[in-house]
Amino acid sequence: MRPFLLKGHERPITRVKFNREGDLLFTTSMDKSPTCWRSSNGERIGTYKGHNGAVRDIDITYNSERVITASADNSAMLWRADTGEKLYQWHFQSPARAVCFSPGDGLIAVATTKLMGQPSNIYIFEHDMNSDEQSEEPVMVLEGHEGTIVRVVWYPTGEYIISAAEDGTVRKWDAENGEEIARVEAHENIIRDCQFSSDYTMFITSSKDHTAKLWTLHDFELMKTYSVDHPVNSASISPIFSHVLLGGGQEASMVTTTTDRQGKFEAKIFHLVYEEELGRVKGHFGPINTVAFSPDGKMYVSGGEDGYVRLHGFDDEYFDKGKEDTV
Amino acid sequence: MPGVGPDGVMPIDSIEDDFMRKKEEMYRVAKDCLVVIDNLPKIGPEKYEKLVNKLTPMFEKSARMRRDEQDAPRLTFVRADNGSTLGFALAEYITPEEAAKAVASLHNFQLDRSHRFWVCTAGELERLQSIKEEFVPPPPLPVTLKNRPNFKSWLLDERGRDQFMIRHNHETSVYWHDHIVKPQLDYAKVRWSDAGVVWSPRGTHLATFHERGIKLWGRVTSADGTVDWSIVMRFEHPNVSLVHFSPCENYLITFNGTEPERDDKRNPRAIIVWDILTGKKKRGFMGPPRAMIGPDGTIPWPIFQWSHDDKYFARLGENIIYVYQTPDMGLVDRKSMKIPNVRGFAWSPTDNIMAYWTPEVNDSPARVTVVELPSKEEIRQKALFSVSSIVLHWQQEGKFLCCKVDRLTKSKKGQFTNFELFRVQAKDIPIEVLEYKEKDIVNAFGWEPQGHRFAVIHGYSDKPGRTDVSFFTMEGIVGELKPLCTLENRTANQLRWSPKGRFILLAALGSPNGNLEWYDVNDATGKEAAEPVGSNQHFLCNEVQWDPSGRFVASFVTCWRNSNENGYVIWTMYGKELCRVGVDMLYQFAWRPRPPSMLSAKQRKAVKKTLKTRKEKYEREDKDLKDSVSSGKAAQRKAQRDAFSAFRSQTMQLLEREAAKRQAAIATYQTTEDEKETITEVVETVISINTDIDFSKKLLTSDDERD
Repeated sequence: MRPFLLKGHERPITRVKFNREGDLLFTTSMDKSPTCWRSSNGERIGTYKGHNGAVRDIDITYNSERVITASADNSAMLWRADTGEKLYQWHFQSPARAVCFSPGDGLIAVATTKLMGQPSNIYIFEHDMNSDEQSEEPVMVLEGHEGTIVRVVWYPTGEYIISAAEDGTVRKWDAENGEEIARVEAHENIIRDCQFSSDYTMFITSSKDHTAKLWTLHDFELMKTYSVDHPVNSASISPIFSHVLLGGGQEASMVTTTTDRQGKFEAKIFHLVYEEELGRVKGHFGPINTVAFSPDGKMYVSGGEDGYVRLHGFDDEYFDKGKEDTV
Repeated sequence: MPGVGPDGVMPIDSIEDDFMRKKEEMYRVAKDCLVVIDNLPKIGPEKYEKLVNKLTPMFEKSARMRRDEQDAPRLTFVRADNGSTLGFALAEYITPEEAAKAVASLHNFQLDRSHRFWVCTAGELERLQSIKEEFVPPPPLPVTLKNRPNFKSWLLDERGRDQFMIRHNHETSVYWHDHIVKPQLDYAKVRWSDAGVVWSPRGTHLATFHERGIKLWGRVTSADGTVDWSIVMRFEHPNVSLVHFSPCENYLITFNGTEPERDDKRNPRAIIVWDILTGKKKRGFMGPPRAMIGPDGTIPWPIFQWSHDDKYFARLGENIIYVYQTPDMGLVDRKSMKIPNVRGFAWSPTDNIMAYWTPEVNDSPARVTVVELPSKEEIRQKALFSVSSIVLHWQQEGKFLCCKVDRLTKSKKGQFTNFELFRVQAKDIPIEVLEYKEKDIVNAFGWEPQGHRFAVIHGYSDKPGRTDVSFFTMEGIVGELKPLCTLENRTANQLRWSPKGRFILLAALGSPNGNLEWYDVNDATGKEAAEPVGSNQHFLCNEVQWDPSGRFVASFVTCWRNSNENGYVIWTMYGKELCRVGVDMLYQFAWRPRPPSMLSAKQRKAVKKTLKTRKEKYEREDKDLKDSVSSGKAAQRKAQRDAFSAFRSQTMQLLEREAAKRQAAIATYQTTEDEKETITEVVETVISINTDIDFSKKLLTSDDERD
């Protein structure tokens, strides 16, 4: 099936994310406008205008009413999802890098970039669903990462927060008191992404060290390693089959020196259990920065350094084969 | 102390014994300090003074001599009654160690043409004199000495596999290549070598580079089958940069880049020839003069060329070829070959025959000369005109010699190429010529190993951009040169014959596409447009190498030019891909060479006869292996599946325990949720992994609504 080419951004894509139901797709980019798309047909619904810098991450509330974005303009912004109306802005000493809502959306976690002597911390704010006005003061600050935090995720029970950072570690924090409970040295090189399985029992980290690794959440045990011949920028776990999707490619700074074939800009599907490559999808002409399966597992989306968002629906063949492969 | 009585006083006889022992000991030491130098010139009394004056400093320089009251060295040139010398001298050194030094430096010293010193200590001379006439066999060696490890164990592989070495990142690894399964690691070592790694020509050893010199390694398998590589020999040569093995693996030449101006002329240390078995330095040589070093600093390596049997090694000088012989490392006949303007030479790969060429000087033409050694007898010469340069290509069996002659046109502006083909083993060495037209470009030439054919990649002056590959035969010892076939419009720039002949790989190396084409020359012969038996691509590939059996060929991308796509692909002789391995920072790929076959022609024929029955056996083995591999894989997969299922069921329990908490976390939504929506659905969405059903339903309905 022909993919939808979502051309709305002018700069490299930084993050793609579906809402809970999977009918809406949110993308952020180095340009200043996070965008909302209809995933069924690739229609652009609107953009969130107001940031004054690259936007790095986005999260959506359970009911898809509100979104929060993290931007390099040293702020995180809360928006109305449907109208694009800006509701509130939190300011920081350094660029905001990752955001997430707590289960139930009562809290917000914002991670900042380690830059100009500023540490990379996670700030927890209270979030009032019924009010536009929010409290400015964080209720908690999680400190400890030595590199910029690239991803923060709230566990569905609300008990802990998981963060992955460029220092190669993944850490688990107690959401009650802000203490670090566990940590794992996941990669020797920079971690670029960390995504969870749909039931939050496993997560997959992607690294510049040319691997993606699958971990159990509860004891941080390494389950699988997927090796490729290029840096991995993002990896996602299929919600329906035993598949993982890897996106990456040669570093953006090196791309001009090579042809697209050398750059390895293909998205690769691996078998989750056997660690073997099952197939690859061409299309991007720059490294893939971010990938995500839709919540129903019937399509996936990838965002590239080339500024394109590609929305791929899977063929029937994929589902027949996927059923056989599923463990 | 021996011999001391219970009262602490030494008994008389014991003192005597002790005295005798000491006396004997002193005699022995004295004998070891005295050195006999034989083979000195025998001269009359009138020249005696001159001889003494010449030789004394020489003997003194080699080690410290004992001196008499007048502080003159204790050195006696033995003379007859009439005053003429008898041709030997006695010299006394201060200790046996000094004496040994003197022996080492003076023995076999060539004073002049007819006098080569023969030197040993008096003690040794006595021993030699006391040796009985009849031969008494020595007692058998103790077992430990006999058990020199078998460094050729890799040849005993049951499946007859070949090995190859790759050097990547900091690691050097040796793999088994198997056409059924993936390459299997035999041995790997981090920082094995500081620079490159070199196989010896018969594959016995591996040489590694270190700051202090070269280490030679051998593969040993212990009784329980574990593999290790142990150091066989060290060759100390600081800053060593290049090595070159002799073809029979008896000698090793190392070079450390010392410039001739900084080298010690008497004891050069730039190039050292070593004996591999003993690890001893055989001789030092000066490095190449500046005139021979390329403008970018490339050293013409190997600087010495060995004859096929390790007997001779030769080096090009200005107007000269130095030919040395082993084991004494001296010049053959003590003379170098003076050839005015000589520019290049090459040994025959099978005989002690050498070809060299001289350029045109004034009115005398350029010449290619074939000489036999050690007689230095010219057996063929050919004069050539308008020559710009010549490259000598010997056929691997020494049957033919091809001189690729680049010639200038009359105007001296254009260039064209001739091939002068010598039938070296035929009577009088007839020569045939293959001419290319002016401006036709000849890109590559290659003899068929173990055959009589050769291939040429060439272009046309009037059809730019077109490259053809032509095959010719020199069939028979006398025979005549015949064209076989031409493959038109090929992209290849390099040709690589299989080491067993017949198959050839045409490769476009260094080009982005990396086209590879395999031809069966038997099959292509006489055809208008022959089809390759296989063709493929290895993107960016910059080198190809056949394995020593000629059954497989590897193409690889090393990191010298490209930092990405590094890795290797192994193909069959007809271009079927067997394995493709990406290796980050690949520096080197090299098949391990094999020694020449030990089977006689007759035995080989016998093997060929029974090939059919043997083939069945091997095919069965291959099939069994294939089956076991796939069943092993199935078993592995099952284990992985089981482990994963166990993990899933464990997490399922956990999820059940957590279900309430998860629900509680989103409790806010449950109260605000529309009453009409079923709560069960919401719960399922959160806790179940099979969320797809619910979501897809929703997705479809929302789609429908929109439509």
